[in-house]
Amino acid sequence: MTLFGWVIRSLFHYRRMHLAVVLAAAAATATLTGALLVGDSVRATLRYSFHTRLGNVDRVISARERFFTEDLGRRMQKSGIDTAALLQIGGMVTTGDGTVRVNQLHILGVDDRFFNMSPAGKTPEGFTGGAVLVNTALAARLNVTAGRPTEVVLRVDNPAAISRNLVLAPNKNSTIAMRLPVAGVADDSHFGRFSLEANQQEPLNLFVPIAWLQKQIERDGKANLLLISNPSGELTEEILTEILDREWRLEDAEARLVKRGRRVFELSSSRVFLDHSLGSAAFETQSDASRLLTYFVNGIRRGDRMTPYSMVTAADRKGAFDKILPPDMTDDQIVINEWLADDLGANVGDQLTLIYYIPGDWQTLTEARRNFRIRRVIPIEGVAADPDLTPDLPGLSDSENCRDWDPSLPIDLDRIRDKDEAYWDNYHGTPKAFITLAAGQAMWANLYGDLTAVRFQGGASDRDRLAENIRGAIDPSTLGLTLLPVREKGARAMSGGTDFGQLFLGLSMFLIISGILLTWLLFVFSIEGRKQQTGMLLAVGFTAKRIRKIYLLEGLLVALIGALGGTLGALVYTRVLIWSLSNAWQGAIAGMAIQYSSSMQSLSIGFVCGFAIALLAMLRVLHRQMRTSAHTLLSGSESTADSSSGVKKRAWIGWVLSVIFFSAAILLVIMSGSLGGSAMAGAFFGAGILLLVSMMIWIRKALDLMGARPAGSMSSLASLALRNSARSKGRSMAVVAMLACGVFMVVAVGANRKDAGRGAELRTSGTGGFALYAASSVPVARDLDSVKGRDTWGIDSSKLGETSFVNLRVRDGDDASCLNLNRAQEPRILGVSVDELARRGAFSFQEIQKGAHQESPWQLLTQDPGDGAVPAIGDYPTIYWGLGKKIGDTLVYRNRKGEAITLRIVAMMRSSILQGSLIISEKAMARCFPEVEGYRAWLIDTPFDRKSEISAYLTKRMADAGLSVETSIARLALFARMEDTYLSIFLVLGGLGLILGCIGLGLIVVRNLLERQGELAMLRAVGFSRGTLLRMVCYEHIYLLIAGLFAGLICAIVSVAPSIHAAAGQLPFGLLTAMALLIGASGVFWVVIATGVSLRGDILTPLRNE
Amino acid sequence: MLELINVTKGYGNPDKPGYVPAIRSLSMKLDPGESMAVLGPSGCGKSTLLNLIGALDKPTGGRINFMGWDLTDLDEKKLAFIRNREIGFVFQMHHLMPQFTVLENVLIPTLAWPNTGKQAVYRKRAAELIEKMGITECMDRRPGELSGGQRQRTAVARALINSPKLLLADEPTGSLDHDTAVAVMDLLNTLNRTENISLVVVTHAVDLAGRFERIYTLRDGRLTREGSAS
Repeated sequence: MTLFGWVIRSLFHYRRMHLAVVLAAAAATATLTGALLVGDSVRATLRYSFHTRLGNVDRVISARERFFTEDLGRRMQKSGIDTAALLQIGGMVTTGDGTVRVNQLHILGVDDRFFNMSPAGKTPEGFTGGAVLVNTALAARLNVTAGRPTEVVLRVDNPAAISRNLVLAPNKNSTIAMRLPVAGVADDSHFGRFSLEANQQEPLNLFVPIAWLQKQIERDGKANLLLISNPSGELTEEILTEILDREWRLEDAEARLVKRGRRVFELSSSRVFLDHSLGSAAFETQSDASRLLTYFVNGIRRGDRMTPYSMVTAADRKGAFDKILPPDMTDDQIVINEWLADDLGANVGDQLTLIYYIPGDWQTLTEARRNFRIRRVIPIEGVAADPDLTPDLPGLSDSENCRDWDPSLPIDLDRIRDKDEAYWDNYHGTPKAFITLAAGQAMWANLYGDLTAVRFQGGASDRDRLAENIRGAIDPSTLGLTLLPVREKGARAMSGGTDFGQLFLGLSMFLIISGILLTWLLFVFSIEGRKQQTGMLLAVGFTAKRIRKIYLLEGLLVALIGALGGTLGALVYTRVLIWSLSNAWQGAIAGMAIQYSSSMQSLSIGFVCGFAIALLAMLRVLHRQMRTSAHTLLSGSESTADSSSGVKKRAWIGWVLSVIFFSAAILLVIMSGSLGGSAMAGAFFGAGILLLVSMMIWIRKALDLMGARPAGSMSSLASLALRNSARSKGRSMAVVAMLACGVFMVVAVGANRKDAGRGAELRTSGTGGFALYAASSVPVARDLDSVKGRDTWGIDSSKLGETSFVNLRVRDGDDASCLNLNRAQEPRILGVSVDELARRGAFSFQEIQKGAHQESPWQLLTQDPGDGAVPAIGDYPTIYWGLGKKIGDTLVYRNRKGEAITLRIVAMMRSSILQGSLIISEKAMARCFPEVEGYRAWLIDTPFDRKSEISAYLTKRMADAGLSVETSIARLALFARMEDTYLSIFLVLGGLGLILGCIGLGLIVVRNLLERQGELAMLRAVGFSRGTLLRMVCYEHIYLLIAGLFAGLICAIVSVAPSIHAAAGQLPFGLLTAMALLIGASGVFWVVIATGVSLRGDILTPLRNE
Repeated sequence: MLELINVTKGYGNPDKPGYVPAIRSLSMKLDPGESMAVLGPSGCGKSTLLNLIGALDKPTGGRINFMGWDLTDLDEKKLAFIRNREIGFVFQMHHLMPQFTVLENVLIPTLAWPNTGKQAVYRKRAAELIEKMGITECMDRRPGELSGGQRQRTAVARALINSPKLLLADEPTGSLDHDTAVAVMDLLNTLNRTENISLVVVTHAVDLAGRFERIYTLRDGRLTREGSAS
């Protein structure tokens, strides 16, 4: 017989006991491995989402609200790279019968080149002009089914030629509607999920041919997104940048170089103002270049005479302008034409006043005036008679008559006289006055530019050379032509998101610990049951080391089988979890359709960890067992190794520790008063745990005291039971600790469940006191609280009553809310009016920058940190969980001009309806991201009892803007759903852990009773009935259950005190009480069952055998 | 071969109340091939004495010399080796391992230390011992299939497998009926004589104790000689 043979024989002989150990170890392993496999599955699903949304796309050039030529892609293709030009525009769609409307749509003008980059690599069938393709998410919303002809009414955003933020931008035709048939559904392989945003949620995509869309929005040959494929990975960023530098043209920056007169070229922009970088670079290319800034003034006054609405040009004194502007002309002098001099009766030396509007950041206008002294009066000839000095102003330049002007500016057409009309007829937009460029820029420079044109001298053949010189002098990234590494960013977002493996490990921790404890407990019983055998082996000369080796080898095989079984079981368990995540627990993964996946790595880790944990539990048991002397083991009694002094020493240590833990808990509670937010909650949670540990020591001490009570104290069955419960203190404490921990976790976690609806009307709640939240599909230019803003949409203020709006600017970016399982790389930014939120005291703050004023955290957004960074605020889930950041951390963005904009987090709100975005001041938004147009979201302040009515009214009135209105409570509940689902998962898995714990409890009872067979037989012999014995044994364990239940409950209440305080009336006390009682009842159930089973049969047999 | 000099053993702190003395200043000597029985009431320290002689426990005072070793001065590994090679134990409750056959149970002590290449020798000796114990027909049976006497014979065979110089028996007949008890005591006596094994038997049974050369009574932790077998 060999040692291995010995082990195999023992394994078989004690197979029942071992089977129980195997099952417990398997449960722990399956839970652990299952958690890792859930992580694998989520990762695989995110990988799928990443591949289907980007296909072969590696980089993009995104012009956002502006356009480049579609030809840019073709030119770049000559360098051997694949490109696809797109038109991506926001919009909305309704079904042909108008019953269903879907907002926040991505309308994509595409062609075959786009679909060639999709995972399928080809264009879906039926994609032709005059019909649309929808993706599966949109098809589901529109109820589109194969084989059933469907028509939709598509409304697309009609991008303005100039920024909507400027008052000059036209208000009319901001959207275009058209009725189209649906040709089919683009599935995932055909780019149905195409999106540049790192988000696992399927976007709402609608595809139309690019040529058709270009025609509809009058942007022939234009695109605003260029996809670049680099499947071989050979083209480095440097090479691609070089190709872009070589191939871009002025037209790609919405600039044009046109001939003006015989030997003059002019660089201008269809967006009225030239980009700063373009204007500066163009001016530098040629020494005779002349910069122009032509502006529309409201009036030119001399004394009581006024010429309304005229053009004034500010220019460098170069080229043709050296004939107009005298060499020594100063910035307070003006040159006027004869028509104006005649109209105003003005002469050289007279003072004139220019009255003009200063455009504010967002469609605001301030009328200003500046005085000039007339330096010269010139005839209307040469360059002074050039109407092309005036840029194309929408609603103005294209008008035949002055009275047809519709420039969106607040002008009074009644002020236009016949002679003004006549001037327009004869000279059109020819400027009536000229000033120095410095004077013009001092008055009219704005965020969108400080020049309207640059003029150059040159012959006809010089155009291309000139264009090349200008192009060569400028970095295209300053014009928004930047290569964005979307694939790299997407991969980073995918791998940086929440690790669901770890998350589920955390959620399953109680279950895993229960499994481990059960493994340990069963192995303890297995080894304890053989302690006389162990004693005999020691007596016949086996060393403790050799015996441990034999048992360990046996345990190793048991652990191996358990871990292997658990790993296999995990394959089933994971599918159950995934099924749950796809159904009842959908909220945990933000509704993502999760796909099962398992990696060898996770299976191996799960197996090894499960095996190692089981083995460690066994090692611990063996270590204890081998410390007991052989003669003690042989006698079958409990260890007598403890000397009385040792016991007393440990008793003393126990008391000291309990005092230390209790004092630390009290200290934490006192200190928490000076802490805020999460630190306070953490302090209370810590205090709860410390209190739990000290209470465990007290209970242990109480058991010691009960065990040592004089005999006279035993006067009833209950007191006998109480004394008995103090016998096996280790096991008794296992019962108490298991229950206390279970109740603590269940109550502490359950208390964090919140009802989004409770207290929603409070300003300090997550709704900020706003009843509604709205978002539009297209930018809305004007403030909805203004009369003009409401008039634009036909909103009747009397119907709104006391409703008011907080307008939000939206700089698109990644959704950093908990609904996005990817790690947001460049989160969405909201621009808010700080005063509007500060005035209302909206939302509450969890943490603010150190040293900041506590009363008005919103004002932090207006402060200048001094290092050029922009202060930003977000809510806790966004910053901490979504971005993995903290107060003081920074994020770097690039604006359209290619400038790096650094945002610094200065405060964290509590979870709110603004989750997923960072918030900066509206002013900072204008300064740093001037490309952001209009308003796209609103916090609506209206009485909560009118929310349905106001929502319906606004949705109807602003249907053309694709306005979606949702209640703040629903929005908050959406975000809270994930957290609540996690809590549910924790409770369910924790519940399973408790069931395992209760099984352990039952086993302890059975084991105790087996060891006390003789004693029970004696009690039966002296007249105790079976029922009395049953009651006595039940009492013994129920005392322990009650102790555990109360210890857990008290400590849990301490740990969640801040939640109770913060959410008075919101805590589900009923549910928590029910759960605590359920745990207690479950414990009682197992005790009664185990006792009943143990006391079955003839319990007098042991006595008879004696 | 075995000498106890002023051996004491107690539980607790001798200077404090609650100290329980089990053996008090006990001295005795046992020569090779000698046999002795120790009598005494329950709780007098008989088993403690046997544990001390058998190197299962260490005294709180005095010295124990066994075959030239001072047992009070050896480490646990050396003591285990001595227990394995020089001392055989027979317990009241047999402590046979239920998963093994009689033959395998007898062979168990041979596995306590490396025994490469000696398995056949041990196997042969085990078979001889089993035959000597008169339980050859039980060789392949498991303990659950044996009578009390057969179990105790198996335990005796197990104690002899390493040819020990000293055999210690703690109430070897405590769980047996009278006839079987007599048979087991006879067997131990025979072994003492034929194998020249020193024998220490702790028992309650005065009539059975009379079969050994010397009889001692242990009372209040002290050993008193009662007489010897005729």
